[in-house]
Amino acid sequence: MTECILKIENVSKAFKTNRRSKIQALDNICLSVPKGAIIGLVGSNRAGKSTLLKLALGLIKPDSGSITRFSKPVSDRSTLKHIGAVLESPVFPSHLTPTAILHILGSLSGIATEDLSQRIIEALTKVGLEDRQEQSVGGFSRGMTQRLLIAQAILATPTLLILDEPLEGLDFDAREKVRDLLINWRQEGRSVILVSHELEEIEALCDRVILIANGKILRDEPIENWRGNSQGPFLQKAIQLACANTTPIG
Amino acid sequence: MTGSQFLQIMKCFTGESLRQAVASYLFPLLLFYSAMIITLAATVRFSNIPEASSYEIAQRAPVEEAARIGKDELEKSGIPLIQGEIRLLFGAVKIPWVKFRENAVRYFESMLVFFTSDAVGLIFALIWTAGFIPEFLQGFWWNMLRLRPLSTGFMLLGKTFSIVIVLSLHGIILIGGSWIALGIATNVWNGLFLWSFAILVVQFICFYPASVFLGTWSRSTMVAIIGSIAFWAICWMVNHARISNLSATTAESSSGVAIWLIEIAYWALPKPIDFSIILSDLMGTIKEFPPPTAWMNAFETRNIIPFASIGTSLISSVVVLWFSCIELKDPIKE
Repeated sequence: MTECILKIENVSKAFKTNRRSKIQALDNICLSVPKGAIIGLVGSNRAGKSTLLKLALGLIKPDSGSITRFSKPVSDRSTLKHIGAVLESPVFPSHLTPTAILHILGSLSGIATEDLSQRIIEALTKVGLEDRQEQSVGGFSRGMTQRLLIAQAILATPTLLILDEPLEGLDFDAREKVRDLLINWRQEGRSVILVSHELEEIEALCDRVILIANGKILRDEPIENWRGNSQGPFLQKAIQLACANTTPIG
Repeated sequence: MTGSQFLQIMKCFTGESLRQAVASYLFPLLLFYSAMIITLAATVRFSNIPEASSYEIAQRAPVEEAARIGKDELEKSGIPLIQGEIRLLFGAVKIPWVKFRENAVRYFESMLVFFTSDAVGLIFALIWTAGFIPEFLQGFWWNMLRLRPLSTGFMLLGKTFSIVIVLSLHGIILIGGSWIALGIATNVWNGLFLWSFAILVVQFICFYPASVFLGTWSRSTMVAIIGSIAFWAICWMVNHARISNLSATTAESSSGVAIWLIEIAYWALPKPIDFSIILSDLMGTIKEFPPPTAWMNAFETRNIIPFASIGTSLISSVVVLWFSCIELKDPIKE
């Protein structure tokens, strides 16, 4: 049986919009992420995808249910050393350089001092920022910031990558690099949760696709089941069909 | 975590805080302030003020000797009274002076500490550093840090101490620079002035946690600035009230309950007036340029005990930092 590195069981989360009302962002969600898999998370805006990622990362607490990472509760911060994350809307301190940022994050991740400099160079090279090491990030474009975000996620070579719109703002070359990186990642037995509106990427990279709508999982199946007999792009149509058939899972 | 990893983390935080300090919009103002103080020290000049070693009378300046033996006796002995001037800002400010050069330097230094390490210097430091913690805890960057396998409390403490290190570097430049400038200008090198650096750092460690707590709770620089100045003012008033009660007559003193409350508050809070008095004592100027009478009485009657005063002030700062770490633990705020 494949080891399960992230397990979300019966998790619900609501946010208050004002004193009297709240929005149910997630409702009784169950999912598990095995080792060595790339899971795609798709859905329209405000479906609950980013909320699910933040819960998995421990940035917010669920109202009910349980989340375990590497068989330990999500409150156990030691499991974070095995996780790298790309979050939305990156804004790094503008007075810092990529090297300084990765030094801080790498040190806090427990990377040995003697290895850190080399790892930083490797991570920046993988995302194409090797010639921008000492430039203040205040002058970075959206794409460069996104690449730095990916560099910090892979710095500690984590077992699980959680990526929220990692390709946003990237040019064609950078996307190719990220794509290759994720494929290599899976071959090394690491796992990825990928949230993206770029359905072609989801089709090309993911082993399994989970569709979330209105805080519920509508469909959670291997990519082959989504493809069916289609030859060309299939995911968009399959998602539309799934949303029309609105029986959620769980 | 190994020792070298801990040092690496502190080095990273200190580097980050240094860059943050230089990038701060208050940094040019800080540079200007420091330059102004050091320039003021460099422009000190003495006119007709001799060194003590050039006089044969022991330790007392002629004016004090005249007060002791009488002016006529002094004239008979052939020792001239000093009638000099301290000149500042290239002669723009002139202060008549009747004592030795060393006294003049200590006088100037006792004024200078007000702006470097006492009230004004400390408040300036608190204003400058108030935004560091709110900026550190800002949305995306703080989430990035929270995704590391270390406690958020440790990161907050590491950041706080890195800010203390940055402030200390500023103190070295400001106080060290002033001392060097004054020494070159006057040829008087008073090492006791350097105690003001220690007092600046210790006071900052005592008062900055209030700014840390407010910055953590509100994530607002303005709240941290206003709140930490208000906190300093409250501490000053409690300290002053306690000293007043000690020197008040029975008719003037507060009620028994008020006295007890003030006493409890005094021991629970940092004590800025005590720090001023301790600094004067360390610099050797407390008798030469005494503080207000009530303060002096409190010190001489041992109602201000330096180790206890500093120790309890530091304990209160540890407690406030602890509350800051607790405030940080609530992920729902993020």
